[in-house]
Amino acid sequence: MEKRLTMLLVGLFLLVGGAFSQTKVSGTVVSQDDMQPVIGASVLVVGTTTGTVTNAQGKFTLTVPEGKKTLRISYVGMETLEVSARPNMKIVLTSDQAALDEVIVVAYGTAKKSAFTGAATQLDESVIGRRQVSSALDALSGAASGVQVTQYTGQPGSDPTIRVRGIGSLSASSNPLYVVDGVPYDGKITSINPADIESMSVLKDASASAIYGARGANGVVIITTKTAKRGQEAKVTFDARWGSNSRGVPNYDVLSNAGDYYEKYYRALYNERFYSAAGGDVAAAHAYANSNLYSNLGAKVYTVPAGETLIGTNFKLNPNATLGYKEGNYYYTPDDWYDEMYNTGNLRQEYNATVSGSNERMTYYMSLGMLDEKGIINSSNYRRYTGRLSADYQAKEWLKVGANMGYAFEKQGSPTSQNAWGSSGNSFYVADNIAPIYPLYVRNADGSNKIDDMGLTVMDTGTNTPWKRKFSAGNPLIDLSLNSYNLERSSINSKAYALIDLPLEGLRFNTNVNANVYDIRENNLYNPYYGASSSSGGSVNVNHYRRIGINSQFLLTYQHSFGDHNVDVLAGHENYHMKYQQLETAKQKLYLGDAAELDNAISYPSAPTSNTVDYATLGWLFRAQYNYQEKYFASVSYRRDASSRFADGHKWGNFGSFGAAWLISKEAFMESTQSWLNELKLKASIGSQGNDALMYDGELNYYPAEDRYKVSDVNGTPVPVFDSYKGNRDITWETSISTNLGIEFSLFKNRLSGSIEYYNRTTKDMLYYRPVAVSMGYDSYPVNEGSMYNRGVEIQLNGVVYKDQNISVELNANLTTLKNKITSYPTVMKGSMLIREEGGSIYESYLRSYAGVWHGDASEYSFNDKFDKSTLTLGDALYYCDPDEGDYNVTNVYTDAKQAHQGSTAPKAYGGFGLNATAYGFDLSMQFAYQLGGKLYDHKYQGLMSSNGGTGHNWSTDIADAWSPENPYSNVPRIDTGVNDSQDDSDRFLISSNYLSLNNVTLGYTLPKNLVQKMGIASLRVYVAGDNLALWSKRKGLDPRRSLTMGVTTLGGGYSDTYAALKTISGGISVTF
Amino acid sequence: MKYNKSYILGILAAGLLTTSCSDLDTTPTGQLTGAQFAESLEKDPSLLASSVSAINYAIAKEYCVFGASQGRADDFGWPSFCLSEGCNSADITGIVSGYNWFSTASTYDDRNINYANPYERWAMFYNQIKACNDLLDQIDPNTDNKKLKQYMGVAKAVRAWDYLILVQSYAKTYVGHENDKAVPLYLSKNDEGASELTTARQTVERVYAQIEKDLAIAATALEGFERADKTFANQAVVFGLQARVALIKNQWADAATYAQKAIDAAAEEGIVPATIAEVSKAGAMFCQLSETNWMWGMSFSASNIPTDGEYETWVSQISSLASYSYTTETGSYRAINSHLWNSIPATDVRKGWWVDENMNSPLLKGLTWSNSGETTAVGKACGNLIDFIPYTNIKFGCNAGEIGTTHTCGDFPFMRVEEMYLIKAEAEAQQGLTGEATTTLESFVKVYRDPSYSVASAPVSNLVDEIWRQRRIELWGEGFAMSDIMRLKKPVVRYLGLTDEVTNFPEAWRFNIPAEDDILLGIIPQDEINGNEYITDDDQNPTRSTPGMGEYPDLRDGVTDNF
Repeated sequence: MEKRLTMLLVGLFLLVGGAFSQTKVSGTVVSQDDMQPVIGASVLVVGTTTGTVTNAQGKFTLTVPEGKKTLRISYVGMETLEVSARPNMKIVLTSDQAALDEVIVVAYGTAKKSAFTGAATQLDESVIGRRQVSSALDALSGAASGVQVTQYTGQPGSDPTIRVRGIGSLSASSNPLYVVDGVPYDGKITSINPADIESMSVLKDASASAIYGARGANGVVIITTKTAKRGQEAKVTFDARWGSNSRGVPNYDVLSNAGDYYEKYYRALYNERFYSAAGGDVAAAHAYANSNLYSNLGAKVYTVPAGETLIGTNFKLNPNATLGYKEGNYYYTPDDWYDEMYNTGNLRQEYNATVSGSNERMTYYMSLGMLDEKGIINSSNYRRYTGRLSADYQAKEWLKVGANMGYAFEKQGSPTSQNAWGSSGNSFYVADNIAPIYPLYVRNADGSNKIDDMGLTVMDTGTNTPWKRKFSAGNPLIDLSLNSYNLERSSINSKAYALIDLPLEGLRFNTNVNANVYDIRENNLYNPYYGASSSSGGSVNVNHYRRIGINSQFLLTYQHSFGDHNVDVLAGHENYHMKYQQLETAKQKLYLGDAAELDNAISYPSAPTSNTVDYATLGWLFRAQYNYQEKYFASVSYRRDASSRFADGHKWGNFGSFGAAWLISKEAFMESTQSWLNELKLKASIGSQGNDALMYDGELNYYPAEDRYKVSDVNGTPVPVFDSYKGNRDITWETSISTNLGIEFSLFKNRLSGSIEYYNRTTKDMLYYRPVAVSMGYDSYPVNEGSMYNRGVEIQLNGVVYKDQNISVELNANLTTLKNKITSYPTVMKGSMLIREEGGSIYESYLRSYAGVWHGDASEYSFNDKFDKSTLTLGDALYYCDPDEGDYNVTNVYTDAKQAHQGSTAPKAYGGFGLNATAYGFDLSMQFAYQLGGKLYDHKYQGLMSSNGGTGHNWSTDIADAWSPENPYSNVPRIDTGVNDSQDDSDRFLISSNYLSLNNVTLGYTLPKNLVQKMGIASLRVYVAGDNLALWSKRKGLDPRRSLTMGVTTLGGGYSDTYAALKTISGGISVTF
Repeated sequence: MKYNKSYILGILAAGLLTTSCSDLDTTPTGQLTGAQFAESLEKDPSLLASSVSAINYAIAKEYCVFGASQGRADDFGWPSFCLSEGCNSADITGIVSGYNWFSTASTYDDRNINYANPYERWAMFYNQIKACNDLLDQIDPNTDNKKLKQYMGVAKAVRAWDYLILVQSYAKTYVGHENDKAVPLYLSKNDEGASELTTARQTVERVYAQIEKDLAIAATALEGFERADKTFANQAVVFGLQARVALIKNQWADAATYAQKAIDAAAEEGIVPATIAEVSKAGAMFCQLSETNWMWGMSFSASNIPTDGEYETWVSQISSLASYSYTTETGSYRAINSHLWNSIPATDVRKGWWVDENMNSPLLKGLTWSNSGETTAVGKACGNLIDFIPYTNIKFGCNAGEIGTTHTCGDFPFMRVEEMYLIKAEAEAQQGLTGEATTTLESFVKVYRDPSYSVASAPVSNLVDEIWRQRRIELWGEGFAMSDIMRLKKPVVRYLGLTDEVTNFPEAWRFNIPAEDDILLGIIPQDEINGNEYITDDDQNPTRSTPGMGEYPDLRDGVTDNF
């Protein structure tokens, strides 16, 4: 009830009644809890529209029309009371703070949690506002059961990926539907200032979301922005925070000393020669290693006395070697690339101001926000300005109109290639993987950094000194320093609505028209001085993207109580049209080295491109909700939807749901348990939802039914060339059938509350690209085939551990289990890392089984009769031949071993837990997330453990354990530059994906009221907050939060070199006037 | 209530009227759908000509197989096949580097069912076959329409070419392997026998039978066909293909006849071997469709490079003369086998197609390139360009001769008339017609390449081997290396024993492979097996472990033995 006490405002009239003034009544409303006045409680004369709200002292006066005498007093969080009107009343409201009676935002409206038959989790502003994240979706991590949040890139201004109750589709998008203020939203979530968000609801089952039919199959995330409360006087808030971003997940443990690396590489060269078919000759092997050491690596950074070698025949660094080497006009010494890239300051600042209030006919909420943050690498940044105005106006007694407009201007510097596998422009790839022998800077013979004519510090591109680096051409630090990446997105999310009370009481017509528009201008400049574009004189890309989505809803609602029977019916129509356009251009040869415009360049390397896609859906919807005595609840919904994605005759789909709930604790027979059992509800639901969001090449496919051709320039003639996409005119909706069974409870005077739910989501007629023989001339075409389920249990618990006048400690925890199984699949699809087949799961890993290392002892392993053991070399990696067929003979020939089932990589359970505590004005909150029982493929570690070191690619410190005559029983294969195993994928690199992360810690102090009120301030809070503070995973550097899937080595998957997650620490101040 | 119900209903009706069902019929603009394409053909049948052009482009485009979203740097169609098979052979070498996209071919790691390289080498031809069959589906095989007949001829010629490459890549050569499994055959619904075929691997015999049949039809259909440019196959090209087939099948007399027919038909079009002067222009040769010696090729010009796609073209990976390329910026130059290069007499103009061990070539004399404000001799470090490596090729030019270009484009040949002279000479030699063969060979080499040449004093005394040597030099990098090794049943010889100091193969790639070894066979990609109900794991070609450094040091191929 703290919130109620902070409202010092005089209430305002809800509605102005007719002119028949008769009896004047007055009274005071207090709370039973503490006998304090309840401010802003609404007092209504039953059967009329006459009413008022209580003032700062909890008092009200009201004139009751003739013939009426019952007053209804209500307040959020209190039980509604009906009393007879009389003068000087004292009305005591009892608290109704059971969790079950929270009001939550659901499809097309709100519902009391106790009356809700579906499954939903809601996060409120207090949770969202705490997080220092550019996308509000990040706040869901660990905080909502059934929701998995993965963040592929740490680039500021990026939205994470959300999966609700598992991955539900194969080739169609598994993204949930986002609904902002009641309307489907296709923009970026970062375009909505998290500070403007009142709540975020995740609807997880069919009963909750089937009404969204078409696009709700993968769950629905409803974002509701803030509005003013009716009866609220003007309130002004200001919040500011300043802090910094840093790299949240460190690199793997890698060799950091140049000498160590040379020793290892030398050993690998020696081994290549010594263990080759031409081998066995120690002297020749040393000679080979010596003659190739520098030329292979392209770096010489040690000075060795004349006639001596850098590495001795004992494989140790020559003690006479000194770091630093001078040759000609240059001096070479290694740099710490990691430190050079990531140790710069990274300011983050955020300001938010709001004004909200109301008068008798109107409420308004206005906000301005500014976020400015720097990424952890140069040129990576994000700045967002947001403005929002939301207002409603009671134009007539029967007509309420309103609008909600949000504008965001986002400016993002997002350097290209930072997530690209093996790209020389990817600073994370380079800094994390480069051997510790390479200089970052070009140095003059005297050791000073070389400065060019323009005053720029010259960096080593790998080719601009006589020593040509063999790892990664170019230099990402040059790119990040001299290139510019500037994406500017303007987005408008506007909604206008009208609510009309129709003549029949309880019947309302509601129309919402919404426009989501965004407009992106992207100017990228690649500098003409150094790096990749220098040979073309620099280049510039100017791209433009525009998306316009118009959504219209026409809804009729009817709410009425017939005695104990309460009915709530919704019927309506909704349609949506989206147009997306893109224009991309590029030019080369710049005049100015820093002007990212086409007019600054003269040559056209490639022709500009543009295209437009259109997408439309329309649907009819119906929902009826019924309850008897607020004890038995039932809900039924139906939706018929059409999508432009499908061909005629396949456009329409029918979806619907049924749900029921039983509030057992309200039954008479439960009276005896009331002392400890405050609420107990059983619920069940079943329903179907659709998905039309077929993807292609990582993007949404809006025309999946049709073959695709591309107009190409063939020797000067425009020619349609088949673009390898085969359509299928028969495809239609993918359907997901969800069942949900749940118990919700509240115990011990609401000290412990929670829910347990079982879910089973079956997807059938799956939209997926059926692979065909590649020799058909294309590789797949879309079909509706196959089915799978995702099922599990979700548990959510909230406990008040301690509570008194001054101190409260609350804990919350949630856990979700997940099991995925493909129940029907027309073929067996074997990939390089996974297998899809009936009876398996979509997370089924399929890799060769690593057996260990050949130690020279034939009794250690079993071999095929045919296997020629003379081909074995000590320290060879061995693989089992065909474990799926029970063949556990081993071979040292990687391609002779067959891939084998290695089990599902999906985590068996995931969730989070947190703490909220207050004491004497201090508040502390912590939020953790975890994942258990899954596996992932550690692509990056594989690269760092490659036998040949990939010429200049660093090694993990674990390589110290590689097989050698001195370490003859190792299970890490021999390092050997002749063994190219960097892409020899095997279960050796499958690792547990368990993690625990500390997502947020916030510590605040609210100054005593009597102190701040003297300054004219209603409240003042100072705080420090840290986001993404710690991650505990199986291996240092490994971040299992990047992806849910395996990936492939050559594309890096989620566990390779992508922009590292950010850690943010800030201090801030919040003021309310 | 003080309002009019009809007012509300009016709003409701207005709202609903805005949502007519026609909104649901959306069509893209910019991207062409199958329906739009079919409709355009119906309106204007002459647009079918574009479908013929589309056939040619199917194998010439950038991101040919995997598309722009993957943006692979080794996915540029026909030239990537040529480079891959060249790197498999003993003819093309380079450096061990993470930027060498074709080192998997040099090491034979490309015999991995999940790798991209073998997928490309399979899929690119089948993609083109689909384009051929789509066109053939629209043409009545008995049509009297001259134009349609010619389209049919072009499609059949191209399809025969595709199958000829496939059958040589995935099965051992014709002779002695007639009943081996080759590749699936896809035909147009208008083709005889199409309905009896499954997608199983057909026999070598069956595939050759189809090739020969298609070429026979094409030869007739293309009689008198005046093509718009040399991207279209014509009758001379068909004769050339027939000559190749006959050579592979060891039908020597036919091979000689067809080769001569091809030479004659090409001459009528003005196509003759390039002169010494014409093949001395570093940067401007082997990159233009208009070159007098090209019979057939693909066109790839600056406008075909997608935005930011300069690095993923054949020029970037093969030519050494662009300033924006994997070769010049990462040093992944493509060099000739030094033994093979050593066999070229100094008097042969072709010796200059590759730089010597000091990175010089007479063809580079006076040529400079500039980059990042510096100007220096071609081949020397300049700006971010890396020094050539010994034996780097300068055979393939770029962008019509613009040395140091940032537009990494250029045309690439499918067939040159010089090959026909070599086929004819070989066919004659194989029949024992040494005199004729000598005349044929000398009349080409002496006139067009090496004025001092004579068979009597040729570097290799065995005539057939000498002709193979000529082929390896003349056709270097053009996609013949492995097919010659297979049909001649030769070993792959990259080094001459463990003490070989001459070879320029990096030590890791220094191994030889016996003739007709299983590792020489291409591997069928996993995705083909996943999607093809008639090909299982058991139908895969046999494999063995990738060759290791120092294997088979004693093998010799008869050409490089003494150089």
